[in-house]
Amino acid sequence: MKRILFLFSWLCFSILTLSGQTDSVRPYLLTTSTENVSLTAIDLLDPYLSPLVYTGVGVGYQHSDMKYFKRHIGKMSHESRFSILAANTYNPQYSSSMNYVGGQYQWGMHYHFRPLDGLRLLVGGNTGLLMAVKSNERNVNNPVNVDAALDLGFSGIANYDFSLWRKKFTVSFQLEFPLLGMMYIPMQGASYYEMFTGGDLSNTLHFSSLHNRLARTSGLKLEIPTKNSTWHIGVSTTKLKYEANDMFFKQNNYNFNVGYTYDLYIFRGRKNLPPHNFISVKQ
Amino acid sequence: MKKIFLLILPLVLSLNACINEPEAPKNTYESNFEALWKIIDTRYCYLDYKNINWDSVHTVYKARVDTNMTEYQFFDLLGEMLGELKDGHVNLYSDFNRSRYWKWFSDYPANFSSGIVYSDRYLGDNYYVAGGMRYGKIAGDSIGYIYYGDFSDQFSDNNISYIFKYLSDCKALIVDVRNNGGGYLNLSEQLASYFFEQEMITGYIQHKAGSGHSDFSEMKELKTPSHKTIQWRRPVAVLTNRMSYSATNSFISRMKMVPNAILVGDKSGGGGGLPMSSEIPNGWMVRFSSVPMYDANKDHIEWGIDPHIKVDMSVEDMDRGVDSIIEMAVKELKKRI
Repeated sequence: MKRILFLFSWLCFSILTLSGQTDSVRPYLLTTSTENVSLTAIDLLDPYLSPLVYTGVGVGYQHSDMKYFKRHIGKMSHESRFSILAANTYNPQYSSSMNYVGGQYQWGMHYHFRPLDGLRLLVGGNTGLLMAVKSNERNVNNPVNVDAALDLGFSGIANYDFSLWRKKFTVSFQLEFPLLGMMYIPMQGASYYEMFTGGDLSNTLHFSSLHNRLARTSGLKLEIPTKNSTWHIGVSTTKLKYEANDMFFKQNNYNFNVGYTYDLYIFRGRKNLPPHNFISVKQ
Repeated sequence: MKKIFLLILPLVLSLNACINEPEAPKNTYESNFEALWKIIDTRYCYLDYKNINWDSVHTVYKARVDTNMTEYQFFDLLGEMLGELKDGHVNLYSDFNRSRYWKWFSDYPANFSSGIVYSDRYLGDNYYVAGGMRYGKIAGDSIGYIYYGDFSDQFSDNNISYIFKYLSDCKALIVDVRNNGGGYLNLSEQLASYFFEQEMITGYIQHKAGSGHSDFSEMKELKTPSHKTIQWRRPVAVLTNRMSYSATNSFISRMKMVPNAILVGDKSGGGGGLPMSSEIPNGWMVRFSSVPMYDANKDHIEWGIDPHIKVDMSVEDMDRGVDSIIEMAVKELKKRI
């Protein structure tokens, strides 16, 4: 028994040592994560619930992870992103309110260009699944509507690095818009009793593309390096409009964003640089 | 690189041009009038069935819109216009009033007296209450009696199970839904399911599928399931009056299909159109029938459902503390026991 334990321990030690030796020469890809909170001013038009535009404020949170592909280091990266938004809006007369709670998961890829010194352009695409619930409690038999969409779209980021006070700052501009996908839109006259008790979901799923669903998310942020991470502040907007079943929907979000970015491998201070084979997507 | 930008830039700039955004309506008397008229014109489901000339209504009422009128006067005008629809499911809601059409019951005999129902002859003081249902035994404890006055009062299988257990030695049952103005449609289906031995098509439903008065989706079957474990298979009488409305009307339509059920009382109030909501630029909400429902023969139930046995409460009976409709139901049930 002792011999077996000794052999097993030796084997484990050997593997760990070997992998440590290999790590010192093999590139190790870091995952760069970003946490972001936002204060959002929102406009909502959902004619299934009301023909009026509801306006209000909300709060949002977003987490994203970026990493290079193993075989395309420095050239191609992938990103996954999860965001949620909760908002409370009112009609122009403040006689009725509409609540919004939504979440979105996106996954995308970017090709990295470096046309100028300090300028990095990330161009690619992403796919996203959006699920949101809008509720207007004053309504009868149409008190709730669901935003559900699966999108495939363009994603681009322009990063410009510059030095100030011996620190590297980055200005970042981001642009995204969907090109095609699927979306759920109820029939205007159909009640939720028919759809969810009666199971009649006919004519609620629609192919979407630039002819009936337009969205544009754009944002500008300034990244400020600190000891162990990079903080950012910025503004962004999401403008979404779509139509089907003789209804026109609209949602405009105006966000003020604050957050920070960090590599999952935490180092002790900015001056303690990671080994040269540890590669972040920000490089 | 330049090529990519040249491709993307015009695409992004042209994004807003592809979908035309409707113009936001102004908050004036005129635009509020037009908005309300249009909501009914495009989304109300009974304009053709009721043979209403809605264009003519526009002409008559638009001429009465005056920019100098008060908000109350304007509200009354819109309420009067909606009254042309003769529909209890149509209301206009503001912060200071709710328009309504009540002639579907106010022009008919009441056919219900809660004082008599809760007298010692019937429920008395010691009735039981479960899930909004008040129940006891009447006619010498031979017949069970349930009064259910609101389909918004939730009940559970356990409630019904206990009620049926308590009434298990009764040979027949009365379900009194008089003065029940409706509530949740799924509860009307659930309550009816305790009386069906097997699932049946008990009606049809469709909805507005376009802005034309006759633009409807295909009719879909409305089935009433049979409850798997809780069943009442003895004779049952459902008591109705003009105030049996909306979800109650739907319950009555379903119960008419139960083989050993009889409907006793007055014609139900109707309300066959499932209402939905919208609003006009000044924030007033309008409720209107949007989803017509039909009985198993695909006939409208908007104007109510005729009972098997038509009975009105007589003044003489009421003076003696007797409910003519309950008495008729007891008599008819005893014939079937």
